[in-house]
Amino acid sequence: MLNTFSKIILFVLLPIQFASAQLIPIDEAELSEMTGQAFINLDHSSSDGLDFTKVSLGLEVKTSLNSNLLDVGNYDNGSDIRIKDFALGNIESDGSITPFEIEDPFIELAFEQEGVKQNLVGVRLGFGGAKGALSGTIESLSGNINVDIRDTAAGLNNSGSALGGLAAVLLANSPIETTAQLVDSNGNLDQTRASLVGIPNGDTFDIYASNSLERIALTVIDALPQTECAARTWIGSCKQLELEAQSCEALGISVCFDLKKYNTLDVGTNVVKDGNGKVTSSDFAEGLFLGFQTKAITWIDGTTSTTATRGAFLNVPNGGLQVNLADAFKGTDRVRTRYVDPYFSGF
Amino acid sequence: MLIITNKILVVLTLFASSTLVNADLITLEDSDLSEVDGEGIGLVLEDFIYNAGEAVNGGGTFEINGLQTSDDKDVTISISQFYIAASGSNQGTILNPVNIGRLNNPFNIELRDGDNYGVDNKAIFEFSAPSVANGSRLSERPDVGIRFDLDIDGNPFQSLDNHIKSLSIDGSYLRLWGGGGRMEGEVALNIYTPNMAFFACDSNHENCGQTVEFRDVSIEAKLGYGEFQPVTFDVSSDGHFHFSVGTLEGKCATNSTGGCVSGSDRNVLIDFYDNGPKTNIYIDNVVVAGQEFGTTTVSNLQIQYLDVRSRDL
Repeated sequence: MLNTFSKIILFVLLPIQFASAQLIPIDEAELSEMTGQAFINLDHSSSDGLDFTKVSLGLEVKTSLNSNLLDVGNYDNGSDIRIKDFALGNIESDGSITPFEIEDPFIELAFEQEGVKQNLVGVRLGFGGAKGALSGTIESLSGNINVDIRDTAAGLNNSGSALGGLAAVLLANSPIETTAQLVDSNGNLDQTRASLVGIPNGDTFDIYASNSLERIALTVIDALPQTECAARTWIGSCKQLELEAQSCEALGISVCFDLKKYNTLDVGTNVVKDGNGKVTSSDFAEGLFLGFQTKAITWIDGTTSTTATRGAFLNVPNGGLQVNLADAFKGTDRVRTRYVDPYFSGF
Repeated sequence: MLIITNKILVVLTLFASSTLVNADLITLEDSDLSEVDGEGIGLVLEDFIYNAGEAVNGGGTFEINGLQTSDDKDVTISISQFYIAASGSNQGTILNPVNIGRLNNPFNIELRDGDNYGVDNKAIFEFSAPSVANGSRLSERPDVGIRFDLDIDGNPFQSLDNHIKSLSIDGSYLRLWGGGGRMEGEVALNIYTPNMAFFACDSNHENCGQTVEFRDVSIEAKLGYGEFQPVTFDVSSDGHFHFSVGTLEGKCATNSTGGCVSGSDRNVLIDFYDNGPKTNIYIDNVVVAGQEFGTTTVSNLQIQYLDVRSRDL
């Protein structure tokens, strides 16, 4: 007596007795018709005494994911990269998912010639392009995570400094531009296990006057230390002022910020947000990669080169992250990443 | 040259009898389904060695060509060795037979009652590796390795080696069922190995360089959660593939911030976050050219939506 499972198997196998076909080889002409190989690309290059082999995949990836912990390179009582409650993508207020998008991921190997041997000295997982919300509590980060700060001087009102508040009033509509990078507590560039992002020593806050009153204000402020007028009008008033950062301060305004305050970062270029802070459009940012190397290696993406330090290294290309002054000073709120989210009181 | 030595212990009588029966395909009743009890075909590979490639006794060629560099030079990837053999193979140089699975813990092909797996009123096809609870013994964990030779623009360029010691995929499974006019499924892939090594040699597979090692690797990846979040895979008419993990969007009514409002649907989402498919990765030590870079951990990674499409570069 056959049991049910056996009956099922028999039903599946039944057509075998009626089938009349045999496996035949595919000839060269048919094989030549096969397409799809352009999905994979393999490249070899040499630079700076190293040989590189890169395998790229033609993929479009959209995802929304959460992880309790991403911890890479944990040794000597610390981690090269440690992000708690890591998430990609976000859930909008209407319940729809806005995914994190990735284009054309690749794996690249770096070899160093030692006599007749080729030693593998680095490997990286990278993306041709990426955009979307990256969330998490960044406890430690080794890498290159330049943050472009773009705003008007009115945003200096968030600095918590009296001088910053005064500048906000005087220079309300003046555009401000600067780039923050991973630094130590003294404002020195520090790409290894950093917990602060800020304006490195010697770099500047650039303020651009948008009218004659603001040009007068910039000319007055130019008399203060750690300032320099980078461009003047024909009558000599200042139209572009540089405030130099030293020891995490510029004109008494703190310019170094705890990475943990940045709970969500919008990866992408030309990020446009509406009045509620929702990203309405953005373009893919090139050069996002996670590398692992035994020595400093300069990885090349098109015309851009990035030197990664020994160990694990997360590179977010310049312009890949953009915040306004309020976000820079106060941090960014975490977006919703789950439908039942502990960061939204469990709802 | 291809050498395969195996003795497959399978219940083959079903195949033999397939020509002796004559019956129509009929719809399974619920009562029939309720009797599906997990019996199936157990697979054990005993005294198994697989060793193939151009470097094996002047053996045949396995090549992937038609690839190009970004500046349009032809690329050929050939597999000079691919082996599965007993642990202790010394990166494929000492090949002894291995038993993969055992009679009381084999690989299985089974039909499951979908009611127990979040797929109501359907039977599920399952292919599963030996269970974790009754895990593979050391003698049942093979060494696996593959060596690629790269040729760029007609010039032998480099040989890349990958060797995995004492591999176990216990607890892995693939489950498939029909749904929505397509095949749906869920998958678990577990990889346990004490050592995974990568290195490069010259085109003659000599003068090999230093190694990147991943020591004590544990990867437990699960994708899909029954019909609630099925995994799908299909290929379009232009030859490109599409892989997806179902979205959670629309699974519950949401409040003004996008979160689930109280109710049964919210409880389903809570169950998903607590008990749904997760991926955990732990590598005890990453060693590059003798330098140790410590542990790597990805904990409780859950996918709420994934859509992957291939395209021409």
